[in-house]
Amino acid sequence: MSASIKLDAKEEYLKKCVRCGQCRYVCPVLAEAGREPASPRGKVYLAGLLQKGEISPGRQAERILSLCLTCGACAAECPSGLPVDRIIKAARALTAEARPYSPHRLIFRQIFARQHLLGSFPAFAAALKKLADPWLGLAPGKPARSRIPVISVPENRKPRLKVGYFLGCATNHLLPEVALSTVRVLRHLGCEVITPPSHCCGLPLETAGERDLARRLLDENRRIFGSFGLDAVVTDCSSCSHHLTENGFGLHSQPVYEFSEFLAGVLNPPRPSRELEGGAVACHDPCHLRYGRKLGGRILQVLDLIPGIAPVEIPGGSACCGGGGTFSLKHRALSAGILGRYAARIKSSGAQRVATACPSCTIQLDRGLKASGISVCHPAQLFYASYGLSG
Amino acid sequence: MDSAALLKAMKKIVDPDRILHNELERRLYSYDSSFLSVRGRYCPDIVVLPRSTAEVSGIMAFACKNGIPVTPRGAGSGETCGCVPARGGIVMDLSGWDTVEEVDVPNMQALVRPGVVHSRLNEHLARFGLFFPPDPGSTRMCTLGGMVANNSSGMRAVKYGTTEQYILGLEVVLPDGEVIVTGGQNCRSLKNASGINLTKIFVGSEGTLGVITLIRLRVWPRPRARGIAMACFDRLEQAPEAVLDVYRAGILPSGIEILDQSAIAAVNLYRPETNLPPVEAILLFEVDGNPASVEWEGREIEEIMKKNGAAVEWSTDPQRMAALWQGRSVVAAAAARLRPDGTRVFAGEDVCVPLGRVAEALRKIKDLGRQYDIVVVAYGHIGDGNIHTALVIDPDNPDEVARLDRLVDEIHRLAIDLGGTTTGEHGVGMVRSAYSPLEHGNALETMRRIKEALDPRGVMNPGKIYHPW
Repeated sequence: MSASIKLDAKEEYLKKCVRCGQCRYVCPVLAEAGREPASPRGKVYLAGLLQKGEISPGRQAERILSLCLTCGACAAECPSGLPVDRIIKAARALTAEARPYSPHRLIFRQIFARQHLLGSFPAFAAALKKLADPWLGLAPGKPARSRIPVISVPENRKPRLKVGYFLGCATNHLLPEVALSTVRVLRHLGCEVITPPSHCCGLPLETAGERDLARRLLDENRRIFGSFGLDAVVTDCSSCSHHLTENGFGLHSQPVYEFSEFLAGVLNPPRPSRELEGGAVACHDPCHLRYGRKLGGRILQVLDLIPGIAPVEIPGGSACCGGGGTFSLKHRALSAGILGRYAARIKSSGAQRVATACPSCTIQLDRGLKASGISVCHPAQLFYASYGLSG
Repeated sequence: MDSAALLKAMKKIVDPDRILHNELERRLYSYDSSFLSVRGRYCPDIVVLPRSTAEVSGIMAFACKNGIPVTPRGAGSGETCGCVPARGGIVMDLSGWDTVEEVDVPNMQALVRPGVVHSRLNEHLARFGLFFPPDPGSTRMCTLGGMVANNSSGMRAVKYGTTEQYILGLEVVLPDGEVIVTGGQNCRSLKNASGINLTKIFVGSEGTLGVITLIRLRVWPRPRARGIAMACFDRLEQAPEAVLDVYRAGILPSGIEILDQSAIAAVNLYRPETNLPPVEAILLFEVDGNPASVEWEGREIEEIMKKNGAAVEWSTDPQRMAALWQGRSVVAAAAARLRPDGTRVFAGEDVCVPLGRVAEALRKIKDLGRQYDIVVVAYGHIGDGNIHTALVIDPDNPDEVARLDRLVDEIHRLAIDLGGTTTGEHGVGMVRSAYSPLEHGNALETMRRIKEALDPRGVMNPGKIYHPW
């Protein structure tokens, strides 16, 4: 059987890997697993075998290809410039396509294709709560989407910008308070905020090899946001922001910004007045912000504006938390091991809180830090508190 | 032995979670960086990940008794098929056994397990103001076990030498499972003239004599200052002469690197902002030590380069040093840019020639590249005559691969003809074992006798060094 790893027509990428192994140095999964199949190089080699048709895309290949958080550290490190994470995702698509009637696949597709509707079913909300409470350690309220109007306008003044708020699935269902803070902060800073009934950005689907559906959702989202005549699209989720920009969502008149990027680069917000307590804050740059968007340090930059916050450095800097969306479900021991190492470093920093901008990182870090009394929050929540907003 | 019996036997020795036996997992242990490793199919029958000397010993005793080949492996970043199981059998992945057991600061030494990655060791040692001087370009991936097995070195070999000079002793599991400690079993001295130096026999033995399970290595105080000089020459021949003038002036830089015209072009294509001048050769000097001596030596080098007709810049400013050094740091990755549809292959990439014949070697290698119509990017450690030749081909084109084989053969023979060696720091493995008789004459027979004495059943990493594969 001959297969094809299609990557914007640059199929020679696979030939360019000289197996130097430099990616081994930065791969969090390899550091924990300590074996070649967990290394980025191993998975690129496997993708090459799939491409040449030397192996079939069966369970063994699927299992090895699943040993990746798609953090992108390897792609940033690769001397030959290989987009390693995208190669792995493309190879996953091959293994997924080989099993068109897998029940797991069908359910996964349905959940992400229709998550915007699922929230309105009480049974789904109840099931999610049941799952989220004991297992994720969360007690989410009603989904954010049901609590945010489609159009929010600043009070008593003309909007300076009309922005679309891209509400990601995990934020919507699991961290609705983050979404509410984001919208209110943007509105406070003079933006008219449009929160249309959008779909999943497509990242979880693409990561699982469901490229066709991911593309369909991207096109659909583009159509939805395109109808509002927006100046920009803003999301508080680094992963959504990475996926949307990487796939050319905002190429035309509506560039996509991650929340901190938008604050620092466009809004230049005034310094809030309310001093926050518990100010020793460590900034965790999510991998999709740091490697995907190359915006490492941006969270710290905006938090510097907030009075009372004294940033502390994580020894060795930000690292992968081991969350990786569904990775933490599939590979619980590996994920916990990666988290354990990193959480120990965060604890040694003396931080009272960690600020980050990714729901998967937030849930994962919270799991690793809760027992130490370190809370995890989004920068939008800190701005919300420091501006003294309500409602 | 059938695979079920082998699996059962391994499960008695190591935790089943540290055994890989399915087909695809095993195939991911069939390669290293060498081009040769992806041209053949060198798949192990089983992969084990031992985490103790007792486990390694158990595996070796079993393998020896049953005549099963064993190939130890670190990060698999080598370029010679050294860690590739030429004859199947067991691969021991030691890369996850990566603990620094002890940094003995008063005695200026450290004890490490074989899987410790070079740069991680130096990060660890930096806390104590110490460092391990050999510095391979693969610092971010190669393991100490691999470095010892291949007697690795790198840019700073000019001043600091190669790995062998820093290995004080080793714990080695012999092919029959017996464990020995070389360099004195309880010894913590920095010198030892007692008995035959067994440590040196294992350094550079490429896993053919035993499995290294603990390394006692010498560490040095970290230099307090560093400076970089970049000198640009219109003619290639000026560069080696200028290097000799630096030595004649009594200066020993920590590194002296060369980029030839092709390497300069590749770097400029890869990172246009580097903007290297389009000359025939660029020399980069690194000087380290205390601040005053670094400044003095740097200024002397600047004067010597000017006298040799070079345009030169010297700096101790960290940002400027990084900019000056950028060409050298990216050249390995940049090589393939000279041919957008090409791939760099590791083959014939590590010859080392006498200092006085570096220019001649570089010219002849370029001529050979033209003769076989293959892109050759040349750079390397001119300070010790170690030249890296990056060959860029389309690996899917059989005609090019055939021409590559002939070119590589000529490069290796040229190095020996010029009074050099086929490998300065990467080792022999399978890639260069055909040249062992030519390089060593009847000394190769003595090497074989040592091998046979320690490994009469020939289970330790067979197919390497001593016999053409």
